[in-house]
Amino acid sequence: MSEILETLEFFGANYVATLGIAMLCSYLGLFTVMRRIVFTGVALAQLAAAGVALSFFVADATWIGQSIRQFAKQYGAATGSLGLSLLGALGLQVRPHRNRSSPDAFVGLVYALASAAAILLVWRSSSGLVELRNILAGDVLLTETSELFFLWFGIVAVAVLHMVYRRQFLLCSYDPEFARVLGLPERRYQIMLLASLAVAVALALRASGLLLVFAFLVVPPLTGLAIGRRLGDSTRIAMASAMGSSLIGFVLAIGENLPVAPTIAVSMIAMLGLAKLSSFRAGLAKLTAWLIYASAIAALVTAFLVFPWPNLDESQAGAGAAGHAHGGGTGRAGPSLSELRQAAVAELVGSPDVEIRLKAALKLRTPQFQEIGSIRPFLGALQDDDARVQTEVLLGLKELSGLYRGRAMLQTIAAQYEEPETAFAAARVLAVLGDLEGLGHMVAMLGNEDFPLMSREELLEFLQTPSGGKDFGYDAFADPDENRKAIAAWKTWWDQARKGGLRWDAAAALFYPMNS
Amino acid sequence: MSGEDASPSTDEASKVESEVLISLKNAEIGYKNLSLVKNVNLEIRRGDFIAIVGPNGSGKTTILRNILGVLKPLSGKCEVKGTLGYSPQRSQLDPIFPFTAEEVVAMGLLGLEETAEEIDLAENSKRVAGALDSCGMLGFRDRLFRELSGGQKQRVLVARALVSEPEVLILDEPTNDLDLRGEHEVMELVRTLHEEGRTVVMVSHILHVVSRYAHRIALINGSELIVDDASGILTSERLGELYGIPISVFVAEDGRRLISSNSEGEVR
Repeated sequence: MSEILETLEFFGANYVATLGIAMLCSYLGLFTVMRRIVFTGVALAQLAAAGVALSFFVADATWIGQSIRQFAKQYGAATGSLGLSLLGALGLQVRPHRNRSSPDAFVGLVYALASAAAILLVWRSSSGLVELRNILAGDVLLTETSELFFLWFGIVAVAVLHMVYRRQFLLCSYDPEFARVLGLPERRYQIMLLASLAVAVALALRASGLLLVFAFLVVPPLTGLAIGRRLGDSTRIAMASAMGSSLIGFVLAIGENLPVAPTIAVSMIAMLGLAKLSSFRAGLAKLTAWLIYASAIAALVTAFLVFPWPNLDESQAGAGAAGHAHGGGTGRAGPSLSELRQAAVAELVGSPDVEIRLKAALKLRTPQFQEIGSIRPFLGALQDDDARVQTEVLLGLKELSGLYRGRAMLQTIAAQYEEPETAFAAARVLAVLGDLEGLGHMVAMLGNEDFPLMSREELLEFLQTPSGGKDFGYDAFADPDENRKAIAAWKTWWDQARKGGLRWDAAAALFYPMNS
Repeated sequence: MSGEDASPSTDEASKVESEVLISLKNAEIGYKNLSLVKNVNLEIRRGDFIAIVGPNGSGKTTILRNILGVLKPLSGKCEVKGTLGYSPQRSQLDPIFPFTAEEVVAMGLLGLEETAEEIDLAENSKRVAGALDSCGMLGFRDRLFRELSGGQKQRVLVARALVSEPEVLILDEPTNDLDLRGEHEVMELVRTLHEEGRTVVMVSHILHVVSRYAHRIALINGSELIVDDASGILTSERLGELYGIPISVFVAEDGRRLISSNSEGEVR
């Protein structure tokens, strides 16, 4: 348990941000569930994702001015997600007339458009695609201090707006015509309410991901409505269940090495199941409500324990070095994701302690850290002395190669002969993953005189399995002129092999001659 | 007969002197480009109890929405001088919202709070209790609105309309889907409120209820509005012509009317 808490400390700022998002989204979710506009919440979240994708597209577009691209790189994700979701909120207010098409159909149209745009806009951007994958899959990411500040600023602003106008928002949701008769600016309140939802969703999206934002908007409100008698009870239970589930989800995810967002979502659904089961007996419902409150208190206590409080003594003494997430002394919320990833990479390739290297490999494989930038250090660590590290690294490479651009990056590295060992490692990984091109790279490497002799010897050894034991007279230590004929024979073999001369044995993760 | 009654009764003659709270002058009622009722001339005075009746889709609720200020007449004028309290159709309210009766009634104060410089919470709470009490619903203040019977719900909605102490009480189909007991409870409450001095405007298509409680009836006949008392409006000939089926109107000794379709095809 202490190990889990230690790891949770590592994600302290993000855990606390998740609790903030949990409270805000579950509160706003009550409006979406009661107004029966859940799909609108999802469409707004998808629009925010499209906004993030748009920022990556703009940042990569060479035909756009440098200053705009620079802005997109620095602030594009935040402004893009906020801008598109707010536009969506306004657009959904002017949906077509009910009699001509169903309002749901219009929301669905917006959702489909935003989803397609999000994918198409980042299709050619490797970093954008990884970011989008994280957003869509719902990984709770570590965010920069400035983003956390932005997030908390938004959470507080939306919370204040709802404290001031809660009753107006409720009336306009419940009985809009009566609100208009009372002289309330009903339309303005509707826009304010939807805009606050858009802001919350946009802010929460990059920190928590689409899955979690959607789950927070739907599941805790249903829990609250299942066992809360009055709206006040339902609100408190919804917010408490979102917080409690966040704690349970984080603990389970860390303990079992699972992705955080889906684990939190499943915890929420389990809590909803419990609430539904207990809703048939008043006593049981009350007990469940108290259990949910207790889990929320535990979540808050944990937040207090793991939050990276600024160390005033150190900061006053001018200790400015960026430190560990907990008590770093600089007043920042914690190191950024890239800083943490770099630290893990340094440990993987540089630590003399095998246990540290193993932990680093495991860490780099977690969804929070997974990024195609880890491919090179992983390739380097394939030569690790420890078999466990090798296994973790190979598994990590396998996972990364499954990402779009991951496979392309391996191909690129395998073609960069100035780093022969890394290139060979990349070609070998491609080959053991069942990619024929890995063998092609290896055959090309045989003829490269810059390649170290030992590497060429290893190459030959590897290639002899698919070639059925043949070496075509190649000798890594012989004079290049003597190998010319053998290299030509290997190229001929490769031309035939790529046209169907090989079979893939998935169990052995090797290619064999077709007739063997 | 179009517009205001050409031959007002003695009672109505006395009302001529009283203040006009709502007036529609040469108004064309409809929405978007669809005209429903033309040349509407209607004056509602302090102390009136008027019912707007007509077949489905004739424009009853649209007239009401013009009075409430939610819609504007396509042409002509609709002037409202008094403050309005509105009780909508119950079916408009989604039961998923877990509001108590007290919370529903408190919503009626939001319009006042929007313009008030200072909100006295204790005074508001007192007003809510008073409105619930005047509708006989104080004992149900903590009950969920969705768990109340149809008649009780309607009384809570009347309390919500009353909580801001309006001069005119506007009711949209208050007895729709109610059983006889619910109908009786709601309409007796409305009668009491009228007797206490409130002006009542009600939309309904339940003709026997209208004939019993309303002093004046505004009937939408095609695209014109006819205003008269029950004896002038609710005749078998006029109703038969309006609804396109034979209708019988029986008048009891105490003046109540029983109105039903006539299966034998006679118009009596």
